[in-house]
Amino acid sequence: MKQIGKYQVRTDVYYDPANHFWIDVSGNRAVIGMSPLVQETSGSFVAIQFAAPGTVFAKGASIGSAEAEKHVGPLKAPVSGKVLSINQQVVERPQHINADPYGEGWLMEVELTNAAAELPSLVSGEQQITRWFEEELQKFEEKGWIAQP
Amino acid sequence: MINTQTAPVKTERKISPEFVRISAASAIALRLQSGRFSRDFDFGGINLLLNYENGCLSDCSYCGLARTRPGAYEEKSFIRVEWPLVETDRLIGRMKTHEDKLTRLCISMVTHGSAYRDTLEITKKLTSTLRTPLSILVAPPTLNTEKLQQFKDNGVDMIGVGLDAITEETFRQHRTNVPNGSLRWDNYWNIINESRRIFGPWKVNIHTVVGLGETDKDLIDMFVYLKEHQILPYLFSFNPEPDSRMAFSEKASITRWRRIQLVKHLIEKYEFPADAVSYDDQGMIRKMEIRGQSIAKAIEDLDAGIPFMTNGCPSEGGEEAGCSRPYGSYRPSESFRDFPFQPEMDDMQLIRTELALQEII
Repeated sequence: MKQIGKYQVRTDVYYDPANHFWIDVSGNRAVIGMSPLVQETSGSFVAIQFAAPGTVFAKGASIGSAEAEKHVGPLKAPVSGKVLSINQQVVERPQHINADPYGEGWLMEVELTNAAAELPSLVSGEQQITRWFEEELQKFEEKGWIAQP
Repeated sequence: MINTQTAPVKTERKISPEFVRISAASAIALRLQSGRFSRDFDFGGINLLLNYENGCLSDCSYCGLARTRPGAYEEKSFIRVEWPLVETDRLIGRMKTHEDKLTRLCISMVTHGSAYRDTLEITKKLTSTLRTPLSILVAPPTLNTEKLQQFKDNGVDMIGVGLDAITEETFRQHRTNVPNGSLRWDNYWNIINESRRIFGPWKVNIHTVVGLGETDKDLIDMFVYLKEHQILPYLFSFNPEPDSRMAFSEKASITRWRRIQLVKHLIEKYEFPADAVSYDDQGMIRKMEIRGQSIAKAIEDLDAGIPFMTNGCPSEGGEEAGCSRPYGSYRPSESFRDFPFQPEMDDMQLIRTELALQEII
């Protein structure tokens, strides 16, 4: 974990820079979750839906949707793959995403089907992640999405 | 002599007037809370809600703040979302910082013995610091003529009354004949009439909720009556609040809601005659005859989506709602019941489908 601004950011995972997912890769499998920045600026989650286990999807396709108090949006796949399992706890208590985005708030486990081509386009490594997260933080600030002290 | 051993211990209580709750949308706009809206639009209507340890003493069947709804008052949602608690002085400071984007302020009272005194104190602080126009959504059981006059004298420019249930029968059913109910229809109307007298034409609004058992005819008759008295009706869609007594009641269908929005707009703006609407045996709209010289203008408005925008108190010198309550009575994943911005082309396509006007014209 690395402290960036007020956020604890994991630097041992990949990030999808477009949609702010973290992807924890292990062999041809990966666990996916939301970055702490996007969970905070979405607000308190009230409902989440996932594609069913077994669903095959391409990078960028919808693999579910997340609804917060004032915001709703699709979950766009950060990689191509197949849904192996979903976090049922998050379906029942979506606030887990807000409380623990890297832990109990994980979203789904997937099988990667095009890792060799897709992983290099994601953000990885402490230096790259730090730079990307700092830039994103500034963009989110400018949009007025982050609380001021 | 006071027995100090039994004297009550003074604990820090975060209650009004030192503290208030604000809507989630207000907290986001003032950057007191991180967050964003699904769609991109300007928002500057700040809603404050009084906060007390024992909460609101009323017990309305549909309300998130109802006295008998399970849970501590601080944890209760109101119109479905959490209302963060903030220190009033800090909030006013923040509003001052962001005043260029504020369009309307509103204090929502609750039924409580201290509500009038505290609302007046907060009003004085707001009007002495900010230029943004201020409304009060009043709790009639706590008020009388003199108190309303005090609000006006201290800079409040509009009064809202949450009548909600718009017939005497539904009012009784949802607000009087409930476990801790004591709200009275005649008392509410007394405050409405006194507010109208003190604040003047088009400076008083009545919250009218669609979906509490009233008919379309009840609603349309009410719009006509209020127009005659130069009082504004503001439409709200009943939205079931979890754990309330109406948690499992259905909201009005989107088609009914859209038609009510349209007829209300036509009545308000274009002298649309109430007898141009005919009803079925249940008092629901069966046919609508669009007539009158203003038909072209009405269609223009319809095309622009104006009838489907939020009803709310205006910004200074404006006609559009300064208070637009985004996602106030619907979830972000549902159709906008009322749009906090002018509907776009895609929105209008959906609205037309929802209206299904061909069935009634």
